[in-house]
Amino acid sequence: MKSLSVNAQIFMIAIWWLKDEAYGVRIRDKITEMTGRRFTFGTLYNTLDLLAQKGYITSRPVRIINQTGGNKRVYYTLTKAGLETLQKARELQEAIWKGINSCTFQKGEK
Amino acid sequence: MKPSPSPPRPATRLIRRLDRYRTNHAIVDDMHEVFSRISREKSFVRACLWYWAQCLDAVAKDLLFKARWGLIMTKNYLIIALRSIKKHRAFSFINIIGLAIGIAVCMLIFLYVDYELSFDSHIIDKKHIYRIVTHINRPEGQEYTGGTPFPTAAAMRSDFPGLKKSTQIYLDSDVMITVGEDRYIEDQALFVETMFFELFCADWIQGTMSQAFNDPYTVILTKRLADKYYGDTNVIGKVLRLNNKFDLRVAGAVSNPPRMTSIPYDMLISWKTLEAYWNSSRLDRWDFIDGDSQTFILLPEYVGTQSLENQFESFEQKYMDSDYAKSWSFRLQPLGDIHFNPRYGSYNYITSRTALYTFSSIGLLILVMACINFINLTTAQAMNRTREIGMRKVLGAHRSQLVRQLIGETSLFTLISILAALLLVRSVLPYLNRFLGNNTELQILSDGRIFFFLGIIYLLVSGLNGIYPSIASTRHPPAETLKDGFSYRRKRAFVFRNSLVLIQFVISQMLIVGTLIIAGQMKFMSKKDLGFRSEEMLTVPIPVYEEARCEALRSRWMQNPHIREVSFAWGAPASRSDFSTPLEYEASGDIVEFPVFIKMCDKRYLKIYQIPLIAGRFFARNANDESDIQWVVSASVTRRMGLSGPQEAVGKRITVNDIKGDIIGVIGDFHEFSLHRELQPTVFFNFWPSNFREAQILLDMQDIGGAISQIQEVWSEFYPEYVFQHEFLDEYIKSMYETESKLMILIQSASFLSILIGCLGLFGLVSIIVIQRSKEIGVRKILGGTAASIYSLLSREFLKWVALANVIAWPVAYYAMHKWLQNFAFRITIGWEIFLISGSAALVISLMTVSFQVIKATSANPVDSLRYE
Repeated sequence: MKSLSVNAQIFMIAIWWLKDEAYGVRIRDKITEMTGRRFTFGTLYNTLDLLAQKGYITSRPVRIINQTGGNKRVYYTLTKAGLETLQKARELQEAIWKGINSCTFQKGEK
Repeated sequence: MKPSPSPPRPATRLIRRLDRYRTNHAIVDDMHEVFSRISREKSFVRACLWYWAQCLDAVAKDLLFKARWGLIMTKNYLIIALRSIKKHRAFSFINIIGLAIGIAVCMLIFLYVDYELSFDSHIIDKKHIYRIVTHINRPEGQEYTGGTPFPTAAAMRSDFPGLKKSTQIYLDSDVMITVGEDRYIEDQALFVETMFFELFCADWIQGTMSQAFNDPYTVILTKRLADKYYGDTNVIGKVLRLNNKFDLRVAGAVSNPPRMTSIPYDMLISWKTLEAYWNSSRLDRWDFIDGDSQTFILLPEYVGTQSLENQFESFEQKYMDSDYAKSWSFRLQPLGDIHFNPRYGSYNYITSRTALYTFSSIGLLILVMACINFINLTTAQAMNRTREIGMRKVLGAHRSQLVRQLIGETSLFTLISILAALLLVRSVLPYLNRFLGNNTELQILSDGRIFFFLGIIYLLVSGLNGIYPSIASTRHPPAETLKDGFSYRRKRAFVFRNSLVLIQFVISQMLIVGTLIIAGQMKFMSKKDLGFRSEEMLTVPIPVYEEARCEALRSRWMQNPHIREVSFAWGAPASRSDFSTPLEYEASGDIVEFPVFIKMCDKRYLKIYQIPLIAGRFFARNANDESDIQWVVSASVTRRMGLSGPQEAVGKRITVNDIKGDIIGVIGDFHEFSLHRELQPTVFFNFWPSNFREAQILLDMQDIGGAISQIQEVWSEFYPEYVFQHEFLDEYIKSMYETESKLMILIQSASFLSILIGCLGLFGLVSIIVIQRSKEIGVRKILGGTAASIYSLLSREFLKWVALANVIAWPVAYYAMHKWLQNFAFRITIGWEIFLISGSAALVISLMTVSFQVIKATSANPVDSLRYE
């Protein structure tokens, strides 16, 4: 099983947080809330496409009716494989950071 | 509740377009949602700004992406293209040269046609200026002249309120100017009124319009003459002498008129000078038209040409005698028409529209041939690359990409060809300028239009040449091309390419036939006996003829052993000056009247020109006076008089130019004009010796330079105040056929180029077929086919097409050349042998082209073509 890129982790965690509410606008907002990064929708969907292709998430288009008329949304959910990979990624993170309290720059080091 | 605002439409459309390949997304809807949130929370404007920013960002990213990949592929295409050029050096060279020649010819013709069409465009009021021309109704038919009687413009100014701006001009094409001790002959002295400057603007270097021309004897010089005479343009107040008669005061200087003008001039002389210039006052006569006296008017926009022409009739009746008013009628000719209409003549040379069309179509034909040839060669070459194309297809190249690649390659070739063509044009241009004559000055960089033209050629040629080969070679499924390499066994493609070659050979065949017939006619004309001695004759103008003085001059000249005889006359049998007048003859009550040409000469004329005397005698004295009128007529005069033989004419009384006299002799007919015209009846006389304006000198052509310089020396002693000029008669006669000899050179080079390009095309076609049939050739050889049999098998196929092309071309060429020959009163007949020669020439040339490839194919080892790995 391959390791996930940081971007992929951010996206998948955002989807995990949002549960049933995970569609384009919400995912984008959530990521901004979590990391302060602001993606364009193009980048957003490109990444989501990639994750869906790998089988970590699934998509589900929904047509909803609101006051302004029809609106299309695509909802995403994590798959089992996705969750497992995410978990692996977290373990990997913790493993590589083990024992380090802070890694600020200190005098004397190069 | 008020509906929430929607995002800007064009932006939405843009996003949808960029996103069109993905369907499982909701980008637009998502963006819409964010948009309404921003507009709810902040403002609508902020929302729009955000939306647009997103859009532009997306567009920028998309473009960058495409450019990056496009660049990578272009680089690959370029490498492949250069490699294939390198690999097939000869092929590429032929290809580029063929196209470059086509483009160069097209460019030269564009430059020429553009130059001719720009005539008079420097005149600001060109569209509103008209020339008054005269139609002359004669019993023999209508004649036309661009001239009008001298008082026409003045009368128009006073009679027509709309024609206040009318002006009369007169061109003297032979004046002598004396500046200090130096003498010059000028051929463009224009006499003009002050009004001239209101119609045709002049660019003043010195002086102003108002200063000039209030007085007689004033002149305005162009910069060219000012430089020639004085070395600078500070010329006001200087004095020069006109024809040894008058002093002219220089009143100003103007810049040179452009070469492309129907009203050329080197100097402008005030109109009032004319009255003194001629001893008799011609300026008030309404019964006399000099073709060099012309009227120009500036027509106000509210006057229609038709209604004005209708008013001319009463105008003519008011001023002219009824005879003249009846036969002469004025018409309007637009200034823009003068350069292109041979009917009325012009001060400058005339280029007929037909010639321009012919030029343009020859240029287009050659370009088309070059393109056809290019298509053939490119298609042939693309066949060698079917494997590459197949491989690209397998690797996922879209067909449009392949087409784009091949079109791109073609445009690379076109670009190289255009650069080569530019070089060619640059090196050929000086020769072309000299060839065209008339001081033509074509330049490549005269303006940006040539680049516009080249741009169009570039798009046209690369588009035209790229589309067929690329479509043809990307049409087939990859499996087929990869397996076999050559899958061009389709009949249709063959027919297409063969017919392209067919067209080329039709064109070249027509041009060859044309060349042969024109050459035949030229040879016929140079060999034709003109009825007089045309070689070894030198003509020298004589300013004043006085018998005693000229006899003295003659005897001085005759001391030179190289000068065999001298005669004084109005002009040579064939010369620039001709004068037509009616001859009347009363035969048993009926009056026969017909126009004849008259010539004046002394007693030695007949001998020096070796014109045979048929009956009677020639003049016994050099000059008779008017009390003793004698006529010598040419044989065709006696025929027109209705006499049974020349003997009968001697002693008959005729009236020529209203002068009665007896015919004393009959001489043989001779060609007074070029062979375009029939033999003209001519009458000689020897009174009015002041009209003997030329010495006719017979040289023995031993020491020409020495003889001429001696002639000049003696001449200058006798006429110290004049400028010596001379001309060989045979050169003048040659100049009468200048148009034809130019046409011949043109057609010759066109046919040479078309054969060259046609052979290139044929070469390409042969290469294709030889490659395609290499297996068949191998099998034939193994089964015992001889090289000769295979050779004839292959070449027969091409010769069939060439022969067919000949058969198509012949009737067209025959018809065209038959029409051309109608221009000549004396002409050759088109015989079958011309077609035989041109046909077999085409066959032989194409056979030679084909042989190279075919012999290579027949002599190849069959193992190479049949081996199958």
